[in-house]
Amino acid sequence: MMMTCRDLYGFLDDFLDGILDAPTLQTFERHLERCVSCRKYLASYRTTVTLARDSELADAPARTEAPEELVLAILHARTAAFSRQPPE
Amino acid sequence: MGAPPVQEAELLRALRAGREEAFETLVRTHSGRMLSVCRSILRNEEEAKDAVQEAFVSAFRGLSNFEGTSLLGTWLHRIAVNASLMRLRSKKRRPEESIDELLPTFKDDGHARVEPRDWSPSALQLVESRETREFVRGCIDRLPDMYRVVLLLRDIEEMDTSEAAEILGVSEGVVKVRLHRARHALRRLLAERFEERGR
Repeated sequence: MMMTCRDLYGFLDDFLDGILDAPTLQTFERHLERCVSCRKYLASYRTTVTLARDSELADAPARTEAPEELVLAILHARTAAFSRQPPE
Repeated sequence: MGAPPVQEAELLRALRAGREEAFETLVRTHSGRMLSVCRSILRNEEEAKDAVQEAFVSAFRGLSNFEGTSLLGTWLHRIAVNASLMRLRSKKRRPEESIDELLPTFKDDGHARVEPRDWSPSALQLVESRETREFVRGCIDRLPDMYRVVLLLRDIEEMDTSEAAEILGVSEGVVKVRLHRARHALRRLLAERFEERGR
């Protein structure tokens, strides 16, 4: 099976996710071996994903826990909303 | 994005029974990650907090309608993402631009029309600086919301395709196409700067 550059671009995401089936992966890698243009595109495409992630996360606050005042505000909002509801 | 099935079922039962500690568990378990998603979409800390709070209040009200076909966390994220997108839409003054011109094009024989350059080394070095990271975030913000949000969920929040699809209420195929286009378009926007720096 032959793979053009256009075909290879279409498989980039599945390649990065590691979910290409074996025959397609083999064809993909064979194309890369002989196509310096696609090797360059793949490198910069992969870097795009890395840059996006690093740039979003590096300056962001911790992601695991919300500030305590937000947790309390949400719980308070629930109490307030439910206490206003008429009994069923 | 959630507890094992048994714990999830127990939590849902406790929530439906109106037990206070169950609500607190739900909020403490999911609010941090929801805030992170809303923050990425809205780029404003206070608005992100408001969106998360709004999402939880909506969820508490809609709990009786929650059918349990998705995980509680996924359901909550869907409400929070929608709340964030609604806020964005209410503020947008300009229509979004098409990204078609940023996507790669090919000759009839399947070769790329523009010979790509690999600017990875210079970019990976430059991302150490805050100014570069702000530039990258600015490029992400230039993407139309339908692409930007998929990129944020998949590449930043590291959700898988099915989870992102469920949160956005679209098919997995749509998520894959949008992510593909978003990454190509973002690559092109970044290349404009990093190719120059790498010369």
